[in-house]
Amino acid sequence: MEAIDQSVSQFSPYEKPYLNIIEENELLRKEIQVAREAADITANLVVKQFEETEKILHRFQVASAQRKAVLDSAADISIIATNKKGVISVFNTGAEKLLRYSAEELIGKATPQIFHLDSELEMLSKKLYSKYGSMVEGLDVLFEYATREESEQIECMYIRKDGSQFPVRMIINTLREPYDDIGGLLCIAMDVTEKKRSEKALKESERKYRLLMRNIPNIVYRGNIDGSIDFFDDKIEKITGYSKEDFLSRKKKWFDLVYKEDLEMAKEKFREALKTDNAYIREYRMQAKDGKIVWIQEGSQIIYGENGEVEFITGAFLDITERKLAEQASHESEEKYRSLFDSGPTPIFVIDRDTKKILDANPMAQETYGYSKQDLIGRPITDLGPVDDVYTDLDTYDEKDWPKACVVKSNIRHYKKGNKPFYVRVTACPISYKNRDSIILAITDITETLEKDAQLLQASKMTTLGEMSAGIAHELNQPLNTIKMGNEYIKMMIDKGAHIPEKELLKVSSHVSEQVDRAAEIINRLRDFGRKPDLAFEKVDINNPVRAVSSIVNQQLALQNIKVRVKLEKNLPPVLANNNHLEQVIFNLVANARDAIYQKKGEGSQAGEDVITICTFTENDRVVITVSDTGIGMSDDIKDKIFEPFYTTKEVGEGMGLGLYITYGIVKNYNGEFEIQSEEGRGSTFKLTFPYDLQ
Amino acid sequence: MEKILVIDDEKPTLSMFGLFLGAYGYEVFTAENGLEGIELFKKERPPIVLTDIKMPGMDGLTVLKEIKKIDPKTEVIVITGHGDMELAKQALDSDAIGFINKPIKKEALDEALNKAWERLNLQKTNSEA
Repeated sequence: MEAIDQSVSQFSPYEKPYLNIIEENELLRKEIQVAREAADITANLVVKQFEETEKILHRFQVASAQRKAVLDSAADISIIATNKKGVISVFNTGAEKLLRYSAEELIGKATPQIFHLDSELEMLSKKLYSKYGSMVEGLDVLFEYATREESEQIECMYIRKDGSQFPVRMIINTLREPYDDIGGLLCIAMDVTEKKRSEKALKESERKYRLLMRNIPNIVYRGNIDGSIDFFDDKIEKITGYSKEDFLSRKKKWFDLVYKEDLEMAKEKFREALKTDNAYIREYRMQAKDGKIVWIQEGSQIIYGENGEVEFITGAFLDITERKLAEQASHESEEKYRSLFDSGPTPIFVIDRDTKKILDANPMAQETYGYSKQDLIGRPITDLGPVDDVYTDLDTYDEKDWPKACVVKSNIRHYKKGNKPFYVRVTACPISYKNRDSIILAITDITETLEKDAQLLQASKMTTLGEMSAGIAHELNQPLNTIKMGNEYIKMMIDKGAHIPEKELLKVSSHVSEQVDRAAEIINRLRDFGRKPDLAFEKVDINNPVRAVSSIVNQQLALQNIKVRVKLEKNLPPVLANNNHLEQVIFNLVANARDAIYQKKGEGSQAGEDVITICTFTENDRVVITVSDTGIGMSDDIKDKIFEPFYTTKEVGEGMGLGLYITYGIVKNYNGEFEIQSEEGRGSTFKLTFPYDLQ
Repeated sequence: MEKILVIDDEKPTLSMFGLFLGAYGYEVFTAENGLEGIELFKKERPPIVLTDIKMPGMDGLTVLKEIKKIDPKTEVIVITGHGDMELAKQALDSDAIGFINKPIKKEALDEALNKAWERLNLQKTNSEA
């Protein structure tokens, strides 16, 4: 036992490798603790005793029992010794347990070669050859190794009796006989299956962790209060151009990264966090190696040590440059639109979608309407004039289509300060204004355009009246004739001194009165037709202008033997238009129909009656008016051109070619649609449709 | 009592002619359009016919020609409006005795009627002689 104590107090050459093994893996510490003590003992004994004992084995039988006890106590370590020829002479309990052979099976019968893979021995042999130039094989490899690489650890596989394999870490030493002869091999091996397994698990977990670190966009760091900082992967290099080694070596610190202008703000955030919950998120710029600016969002936690001092700071950086650039771009575009808004040549209002009140008004809006910005903001725009149903029209868009919605309303009368009216077109589009759903109302002053249109229309009407004058004269002559004759009759009777029967006097007076009314009505109609209409829209029963026109033209067309048939549907829904304009439209269409019939007559065609038919009805939620004639008809070629200005099929001097152009303009202005059906030689039908106005 | 036929599409005009010519002592026949007028003419054979020149359907010129075809001795006075001088000329070429403009003046009507009677009387004398 004295020998054992000695061996514990000093390191033997056999012990060092074990220490290394043990140090390498904490996990195995406990398992190994027992084994280590045993191994310490064993190693010592093995070395000392074998050198001694082998020499006097046969002389000291007692020592054998003691040795066995020692060897067996190293239960988890395989200790195998051989004689000079390599034949196994010691096979301890640990070896029996690991290799599943019994000592009796092997001692004196086998060599340790049976525990090794041939391939591993071959590899070891090659290694030894390349290192020392000696070529050995089989069992000799183990001898050679023991001689050349004494005390070197080797990792290899052991083969159990059942053929299964397991990894071991082993030391192969030579047993020395007196006079330095090699007395045999000593192979001490430890099962490292568990260790391998835990090593593998550790490697796997580390691999996963590194993978995670590499794949998340965040750059995880651990920093110190002095600004030194450690990064765990290379992402920092991608972003800043500085490698993680630059930081590990303390050549670069956090302060070196931060863009100078942002440093104070970033520090302030840190100080605030110190006062509160020690966590903070800050956004600041970093300047990369190449001078480029990188926007960083940093979320960090300050960690305190046991002594109450800041131990370290840990957290992650996120590159938010793209987001910041997008924000900046949106800000710039906002600036751009702001300048458009401010310098826009037309009035623009921003209206709150919910309250319908003015949120903002550009300088032109202030100038046009004559109110200051303070006067305008907070008021509903309807104080300035109606916007018709732009809001309800906008609301008909689905919520997903809302951003693309756009509504235009025209011919609306607005009022400037001082109640001065003017005509506008309102264009309404949705917009997000200061994160509120809002509506942009762009106003265009169309008074001048409308006035020009009106002038053109008026000129065209006057032309029409001129064309009509002969017919009107004829028509006015009729009542005048009756009045004149009645008057001449009475005068004649008085001159003759004859008695006028009361019955006849009554007849004359009632006729005269009737005819004066008739003349007055003709004059009224003409005056209405020639009147320059108000520009505003009104609700029109389309039958009214049809009646008015037919009463003007009926008589004259009858004299030309052209029949006018009027079929009107009762109780038509109103359309939003202007009565006078619609009269003009219908008149132009009837005049055109008449001309088409004239042209047919001029070509000497006598076939059938000459008829102009005017119908009104409703169809597909629209009010329809058709004007058909039995005239000359049109080719498709002409049909394509008839709405062009100055296009005419009439003789020079008979028409300017503006009638249908103007008609088309009016119809379009009231959201009307035009449709033409025509057949050469058979006649044409002009069909107009207008949307209902049901409000 | 002499017969006289007036053709005009204007009812009040016909009515006034009725009064006027009645006061002159004529038996007055009236028609509202050309075709009706011709039929009435065939039935009553008045020596004098007054017809409006502008009428829907058969116009005054056609009426004039038809009557002259039936009886060339009948005197036809056409009634014209303002600016119908071209039509008036055509009527004279078709042997109308004269034309009167609307609104009709008593003097013009008297003159036309006198002229008609002059010619009627001359024809009568010639045929008797």
